[in-house]
Amino acid sequence: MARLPYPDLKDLSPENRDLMASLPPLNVFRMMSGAGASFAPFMQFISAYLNEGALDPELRELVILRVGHLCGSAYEVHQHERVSRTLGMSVPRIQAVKGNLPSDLFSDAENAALLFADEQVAQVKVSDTTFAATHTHLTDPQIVELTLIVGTYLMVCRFLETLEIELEETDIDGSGLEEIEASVKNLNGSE
Amino acid sequence: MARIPYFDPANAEGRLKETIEKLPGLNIFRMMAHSGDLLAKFTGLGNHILGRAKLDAVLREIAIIRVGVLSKASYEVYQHERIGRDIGMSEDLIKAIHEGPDASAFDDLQHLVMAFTDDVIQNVRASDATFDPLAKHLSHKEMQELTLTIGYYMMVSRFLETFDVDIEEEGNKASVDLKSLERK
Repeated sequence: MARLPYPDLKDLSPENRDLMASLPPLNVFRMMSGAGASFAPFMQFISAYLNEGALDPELRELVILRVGHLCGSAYEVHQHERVSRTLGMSVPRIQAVKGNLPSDLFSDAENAALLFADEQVAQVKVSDTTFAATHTHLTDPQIVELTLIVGTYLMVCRFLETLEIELEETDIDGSGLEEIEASVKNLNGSE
Repeated sequence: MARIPYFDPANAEGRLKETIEKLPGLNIFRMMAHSGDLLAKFTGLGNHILGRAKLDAVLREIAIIRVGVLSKASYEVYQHERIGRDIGMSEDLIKAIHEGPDASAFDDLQHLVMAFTDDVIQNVRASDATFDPLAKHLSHKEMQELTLTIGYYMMVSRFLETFDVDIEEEGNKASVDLKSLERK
């Protein structure tokens, strides 16, 4: 049982109701449709970083999974393991992101980005050594994006866990990312 | 000194150029402009959190400054203490945010917001002890807004600290214009 009731569709603004109706049927979006004016910009933000970002998609998902494990968010891990599988990531790689670093199953760039994520989660500020090591693999736009992806999922995990959002009974098909992108396209210009 | 050079706005084109022209001249945005068109999405969410939420502005700034304090993010604390003063927060109240939830300057609701914020930051999932009493005072929408605000500023703090974004030089009056956000 979530800590707050999922909002009743009739209580939502027309904009939030329309957006909700076009998104994949996930409890996190159902709940956040009740967050008022922040719902649409949140979805635009998430969609931009997941669909239009400069990071390699597998590296991005590994980092998101790592943050989910570190935050102990079963919901987040479940959804992004599905996204990872849809991208074609192997099960051993998906499993290895729970474990110790560095891992032979990850590239040098992935190992560096995951260590960067660990430090960011635990210490806020990444050390000089880790920053420099990661920067040899990632461009300026990519390392900015990596930092924001870690932060985004710290936010998402807190939302999921503090509101005790439960997993859906059945998984959605595919990654859901294209559907999210199509949904927010209808909003563009309204921000 | 920032860890990588700030983005040079002279190199901005199209959507990014429009976004930069609308933003105040703050170093956080100069650094984040490396993200290109995605900058508009980051600031779009921030503008709604700051300008369009139902949550009381003083409660919001208490939570934001507390995130900055616990994250040791001096830039964030500096900018949001400015905003706090602009909306009428006293020096005693601002000082109390550095002390902790039990400081005497807080009223009951402010104390609950502080305790909830600390719990969400440290434990991800707030305990019943901090969630339940606060949920008696705030609407469901406000509880969601507060949770997202804490998370958003955890992200901002990490960005600022990891890139060593510098506080602007003295005399730089650039600031987020809350009034203009509210009118949008």
